[in-house]
Parts: sequence; structure tokens; C-alpha cells
Amino acid sequence: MLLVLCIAFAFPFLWMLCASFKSDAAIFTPFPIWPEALDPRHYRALFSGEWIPYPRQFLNSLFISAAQTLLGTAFACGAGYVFAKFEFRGKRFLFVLALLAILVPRQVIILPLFEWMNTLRLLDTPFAVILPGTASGIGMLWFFAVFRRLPNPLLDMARCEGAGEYRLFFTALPLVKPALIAFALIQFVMSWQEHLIPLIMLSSTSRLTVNIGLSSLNAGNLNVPYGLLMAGCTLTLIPAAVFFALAFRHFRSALSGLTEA
Amino acid sequence: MSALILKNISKIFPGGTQALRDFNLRVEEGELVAIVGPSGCGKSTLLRIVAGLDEASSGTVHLGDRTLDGLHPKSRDVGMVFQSYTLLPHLTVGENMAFGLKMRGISKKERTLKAVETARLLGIANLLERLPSEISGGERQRAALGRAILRQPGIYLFDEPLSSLDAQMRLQVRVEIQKLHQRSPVPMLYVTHDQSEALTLGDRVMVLHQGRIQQVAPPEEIIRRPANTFTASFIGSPGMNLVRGRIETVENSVRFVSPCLNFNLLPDQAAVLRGCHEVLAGVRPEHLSPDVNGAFRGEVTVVERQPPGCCLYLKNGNILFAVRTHEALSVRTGETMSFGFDRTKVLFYGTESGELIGSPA
Repeated sequence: MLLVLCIAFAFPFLWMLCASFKSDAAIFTPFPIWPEALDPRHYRALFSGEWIPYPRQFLNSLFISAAQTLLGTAFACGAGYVFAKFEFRGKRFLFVLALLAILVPRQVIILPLFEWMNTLRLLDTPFAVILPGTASGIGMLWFFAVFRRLPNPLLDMARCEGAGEYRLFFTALPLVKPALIAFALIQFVMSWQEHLIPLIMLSSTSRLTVNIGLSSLNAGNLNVPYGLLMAGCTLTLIPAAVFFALAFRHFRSALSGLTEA
Repeated sequence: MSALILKNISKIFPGGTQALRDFNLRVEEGELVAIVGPSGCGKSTLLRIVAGLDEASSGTVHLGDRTLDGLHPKSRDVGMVFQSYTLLPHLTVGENMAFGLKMRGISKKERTLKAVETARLLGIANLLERLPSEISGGERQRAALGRAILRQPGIYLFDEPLSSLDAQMRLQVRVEIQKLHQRSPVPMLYVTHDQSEALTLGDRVMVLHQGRIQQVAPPEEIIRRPANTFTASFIGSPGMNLVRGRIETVENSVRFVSPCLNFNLLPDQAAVLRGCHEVLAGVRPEHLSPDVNGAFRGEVTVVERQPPGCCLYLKNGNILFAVRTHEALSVRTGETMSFGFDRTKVLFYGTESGELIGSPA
């Protein structure tokens, strides 16, 4: 049963991988699924910049996702910690406000966001994509739950032993490492596949993210070989897959930690 | 080194619960005051206020002539041992013990040196490289104790440090705390809900109830002359038997009269109680002994074995009382027994105030 499911899930990816080595004619022939030869011409075309500046766009994506992961995790983690461990005036109000951010769909705020970035003169720069993704209501909620499970006596101990409040936060971080990594992983994958915001904010071809670049190939009425698209998709998958493979163990332990509580 | 002085401390929680009421205490250098009381009596709140983890609603905390009010815990120079182990799971025992020194920017070399020295003192030198998850509960609590000792703080605060340990570990760690107490000339506050711990460790024992000090006195005095009915019935296992009765003067003798207990007062008791109408007479369970002509009489309802002795609960009318003997008695529930007592050991309390009647002796 599990095997059947595995095959079912893996099939589209395998098909994509195989298609990236085929000519269009071979792609539209259902069998055989595997290519006749491992012909890297689509990959070569992709890197030559013949259609789109693929390497450049790939690096754009990497930079944007990395920055968004770092900043987003840092902000969500800090906010969650404060909401979980401190009492202050207006806490409930702010908390509800942060939660509301989850409920508002991106599409609703995209126009004001565009105006805003325009005013800040950040349009068509990576920052126009990075900044909106750094504030995450879900992330704050996630870290709120994580830090609430952190025993208070540990923090009190650290205070008595001489840690100031800022120091305390960094003392607490290693204790939630699995949750931290799990969130960073999700944040990376989310920002890697983000479509709407880069589509709106970026315009120069050399500044596009890789998925917008690829979809522009498909959308324009260019005669782009499908094999090339598949090659681009295959490569685009790699960072997320690598990141996931590295962080999967932590992700699992963070989730099991949540269910234990 | 200097004394810890608490002046007029009150604590009201945001919900309106009053945890401490006008609390005053002075703990001398090298003195250990054990604070005991039922849960929710405010004893942990008191420690947290001294440590700076909670803020008092009013009142001041001084260490010698230095005021601690408004200071962050890190600047108060307190060493606190918590009920849970509070070791950081990703650090080794050694690193945990030296955590406070690290926070103060002491070099790694010196930290290691100190940790080894302290660990030796506590008999855990062989565990320094282990992670907290790899050692037993008693060892963890000794490591936590070590962490507090290492910095040689100006005050020690213990928040039920033994209550998460099993009986054997409890004894071991208790001995370590005793040793620490003997060699450290600083004030110590020790919170527990276990009276035997309080009576063993405390130079003075403070009984706390609903945020008010019931009595602060050396352990012997707490046992011998509880200042009020709360302390009398809270301390001791079981607590003191309290019987409500009248004081009557018949001819030349003054008598205590109640439905289940009648006896003539001794001359000094009579002198003190003259003019009182109703009082509570208190007799400790261990001061009662089987006596066919004894004044206490009742039906045995429960027999508890406490080798080598035993503990009986008797009922007379609607009055329950407890008896503790040093030797086992062969009694069964349902039997009626009489017990006598040494009248010099009876204490009297006011029915309204609950306070001990008579001059402190």
C-alpha cells in the first residue's frame, strides 16, 4: 500500500526528470517514459541564457529565500517568545492583531503593498519581495506555542545566574532548536515557491525569481521546448529538496514535541 | 556578608489574590530560615520576591545596607535552587554548573577549575562531562546545587529543592544542603511543604498561612509551644489534638470541662486561665499514653502502623483525636480505649483568636 502511494507521489517528479532529457516529440509519446539517452541539451540551453538568464534568476531566488528565511524566522521567534513569556499592556490586542494577519489573504494586501514599495523606491529590487514575507502570523503563533512549553524555572534560573533579558532569549534558543529549524524549513520552501509577490514586485528579467522566470517562458508565446521547462523545474526543486532532507529529522522531532505537550 | 532584611512586604496578584500581607523578617548571616506552610500560603512568592523574579506590591528587601528593590535578578547576587532540576539540556553538567560564571564573563579555564572543585565537594566530579539526561534525579539536583554554590552568592534561596526526588536521594541532597549551610556565612531561605525537612534544616522555622507569618521560632519551640492553633495542628504528624472546653472553678480547684475530656488544671495554668470562659486545650498525639484511668476516652476508628510504634485515631462523640505511641499496641478498630497524659504538657488557646494563652516559656 505504502509502495503504491510512494510510486503515485513520485511519478510526476520522475516524469518531469525524464522529460527534461527528451525532445518535444518524445514527450508527447506516452511510452517509453524514460528517455532514450541522457541528453543534457536542455540543461545546456538553460545555462547558456539562450531563453532566460537562468543562473542569475536561480541566485536571485536563493538570495531572496535565504534572506526571508533568516529574517522571518528571527522575527517570528522573537515575537513568539515575547508573547509567550512576558506580560505587558496591550498584549491581547497585539496578539489578536498578529493572528488577524494570518486570516488576511495575500491578494488583498498586494495593492497597498505595491504602493508602499513604490513609495519606498524598492520596486524591482529583491527587498520588495523579501520584506513582506518576513512578518509571519503563523510563525509567531508557532513560536508562541513552542516557547509556552519551555519551563519557566529554566528562565528564572538563568536570570538568577546572571543572564539579562536579551541574553536570556539567546540562552533559550538552543532549547527550541528543532522547532527553529522546522520553521526555517517551512519558511524557506514557502518563499522559494512564492509566486504572487515576486510577480507583482519584480519586472526586469535579470531580477526575476526562478519560478517567475520559468513561468514567463511558458506564458509568452515563445516556442520553448517543454524539455527545457522540465529541466528548469528539476533544477529548481533541488534547493528545497536538499534543505528538506537536511532538516527533516528536526522537523519530525519538533512536531512530536508538540504532540507530547 | 550581611543579613537579609524584609520589611513590610505585601504582594497582591493582578487577580486580587493577596499572597503576602505585611511581611517582616530578618535572616542573619549564616542562618537558615525554613519556611513551611500549605500550598498557596505564599512561601514561593516570598522567595521569588527576594530573588527579584516577582515584584512586591509594597515593602523593601535589603541585603545588609544594600537595597535590592527594583534590581534585576542578575544583579542581586542570589543563588537559587528550584524544585525542578533546571539544568540546560544541551550543556554538560560541568557547563551547567559554571553557567553563572559564563554569564559574568569569567574565562573558560577558571570556570572549569571552579566546576571541578565544586563537583568534588558534592561527589559528582565524575559526571562533569555528561549531559543532564544521562544522570539521575539526585545527581541533577546536586549539580543544580553546585551551580548555586559555585558563584558563592550573598543569599541562598531554596524552593522545595527536594520535593521531586525519591526518599533516598532526598536524604543525600539534604545532607549536602546541611554541609553547605555549615560552611556558608550567608543568609538562607528554604521553602518546603515538608515539615520534617523544615524542622531538620532550619535554624528557625517559619510557619506561613494565607500570606501571614504564624510563627517564627527555633524548631524545638515550634514543636513545644506552637504560637497558635494553626501551627499546632499543622506541625506534627498528626498535628496537635485540640479540644474545646470550659474553664470552671469548683470549690478550690479550677477544671477544664468538655464532653470528652475533664481534668484539674495545674496551679500555674489555673493562674493564667482565670477569667477565661471557653478555651481550646491542646495535647500532642505523642504525649498520650494508654492508661485505664486516663481522661481521654474514645472508640478506635483507624489504626496506622508506624513501626516501631503506631498511630491511632479515636472518636468520642463528634470529636476526633489522634494518639501516637512508641510501641505497637494490639488494638482493633471498634475497641474503646482510655489514654492519660502529662498535664504539664497541655497548652491552651483562645477560641476566638486561636492564640496561645500564657507567657512564652
